[in-house]
Amino acid sequence: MLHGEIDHASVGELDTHVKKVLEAGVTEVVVSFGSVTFFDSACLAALVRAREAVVERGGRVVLSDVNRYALRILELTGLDAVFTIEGQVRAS
Amino acid sequence: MRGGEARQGTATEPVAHRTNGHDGVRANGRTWRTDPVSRVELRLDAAVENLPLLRLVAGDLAMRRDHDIDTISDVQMAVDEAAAALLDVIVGADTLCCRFEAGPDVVRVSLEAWSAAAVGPDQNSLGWRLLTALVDSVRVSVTAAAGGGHRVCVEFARTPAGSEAP
Repeated sequence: MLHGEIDHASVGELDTHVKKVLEAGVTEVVVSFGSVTFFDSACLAALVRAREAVVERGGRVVLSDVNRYALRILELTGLDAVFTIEGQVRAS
Repeated sequence: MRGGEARQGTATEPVAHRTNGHDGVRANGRTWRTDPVSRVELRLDAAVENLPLLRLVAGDLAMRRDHDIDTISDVQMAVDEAAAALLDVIVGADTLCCRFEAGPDVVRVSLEAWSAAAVGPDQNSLGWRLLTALVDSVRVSVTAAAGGGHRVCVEFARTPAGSEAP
């Protein structure tokens, strides 16, 4: 689960966490946006990097608890077609 | 309107007044601004750690002008992406200058920094694509700075959803 604001300044923590998950051999990665208060293109780029690494190992990355605004941003960037988005889209 | 309130001393009738280029009302010996546009200028360290501060200011100004929640969120993300794109290319700069103007019909943001390199933001990046999708107009300029180097500037304007672009 992601928490708080994930931007150009804090995205390194996400990269580090993804690296640990991959090193643990996990191939099914579910990223919850339920506690995210802000994310930008740095977060999206990190998720794309994570997806590439996971797909290479035969797995997949799923985005869950995506709110209406986050879905809009995913659509604007075309990433809604790249990621599997599961669960009901939250109103806010 | 703050100028219409009675204060200690002798109250005077408000009189329309214009000073320093802004609309105002003259009352009780001073001019009260009624300009519907809020302006803020910030000079801060050119570092990504300051992106939350820029988002905070942009969001607050847009909120004060009663913009809808999507416009507020878009302005916050746009200023984040514009500043990040600028910070990514400037060389040798330590200060970022940011000007915000929020009125009822449009929010304008200008971000500027000195750079040793005459290079503007990467307009093929994911962040730039997002920026241009979120706002009505984006302008980039790279000009020679007095004393050497260059001024790299990114400006954007965002109107509320459903309104005409400026």
